[in-house]
Formats: sequence, structure tokens, C-alpha cells
Amino acid sequence: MEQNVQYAQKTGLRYGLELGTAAVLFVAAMAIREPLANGAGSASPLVLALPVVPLWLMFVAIWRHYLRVDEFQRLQFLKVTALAAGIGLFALASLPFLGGFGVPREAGDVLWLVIPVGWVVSLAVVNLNRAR
Amino acid sequence: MYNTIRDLRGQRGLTQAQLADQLGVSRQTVIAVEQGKYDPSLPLAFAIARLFQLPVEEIFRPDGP
Repeated sequence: MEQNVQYAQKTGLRYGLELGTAAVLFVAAMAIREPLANGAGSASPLVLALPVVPLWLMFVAIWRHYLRVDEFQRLQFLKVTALAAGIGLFALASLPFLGGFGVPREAGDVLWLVIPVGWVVSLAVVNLNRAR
Repeated sequence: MYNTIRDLRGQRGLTQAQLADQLGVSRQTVIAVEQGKYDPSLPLAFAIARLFQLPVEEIFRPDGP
């Protein structure tokens, strides 16, 4: 029994740690990038592209978690991921039309909000659906 | 799909976690299968049948009890 609980805990912990580290790196990269991007315009493209690295680290963390879990968890995880991706995609596609309401037109300005909110909404929807 | 896993597990005095351990899946998966909220893959269904030493069709049925 303990073996199973320990494995589940370890899997969840590892996923949280990997995703959390990538998220912290993303925030740090954005913090470094923003003053440079809004500055004189002489910032290196490499520095400006810095947030791309933690973004893909998040993807790697998600993929590694997908490979670790069993078939039922994988199905649930895929549902959450697909729904979150859909929410994110449509939210970002809506941006250019909402500029009149003061919504930023650049995806990079709202990505930090769209991804976690989309994920939380998807988790809630999939878990509510499963509970029925 | 209806299944008799909960009864079989009870007869053998196994907890959900012990069954999950023996099948190499999470307790979450065992709960979902027992409650009929998830139909397992064929490999998992055969692993369950092997564990309880019963034919698959005796454990899983397309209709109710």
C-alpha cells in the first residue's frame, strides 16, 4: 500500500517541482526581459527571447509527467491539457479584437495569466465531470 | 461497463491501494474502474483477470449485475 501512495506522491511532487521551477524561471526571465524590452531598444534578441526557454521547460515537465502516470491518470491529464490548450488558443486568438476594451494585443503580455487560468478551469471542469 | 472488482477485492481482503500495487497502477485508477467511471484498457483488464484467476468476461460485463 505504502509503495503506491509513495509513488503517487513522488510523481505529483516531481511534476510540481519541475513545473514550479520552470514557472519561477519564466517569471525571472520576464523580469529580466521587461526593462530591457521597454528600454532604448538596444537589447540583444537573445535576452528578449529568454522567456522561451522556461516556457519549453514547462512543456518538458508536462510531457515527463504524462509519461510517468498510468493509463487512467494519463487520460484525465490529456483531457485537462487539451481543454487548457483550447482555452489558451481561443483566448489568445480573441486578443486582437478586444483592444478597444483595454485588453493587451500582445500574446506575451497576457500569457502568464492565460496559461494558469486555463489550466485551473480545465482541472475544475474535468474533475467535476469525473465526479458525476 | 459493469464489473465485479469491488466484490472480488472484498472477498480477498484487499484494499484499493494493495490491489493498485499488485496491478502496477494508481489507487485513483482502481477507484475509477470500481465505480464504473473508467473502462480499463485490454492489458489492464487481462491483468485484473489474471490476478483474480477468473476469465475477463466474468469480471467485466457489458450490462448491469
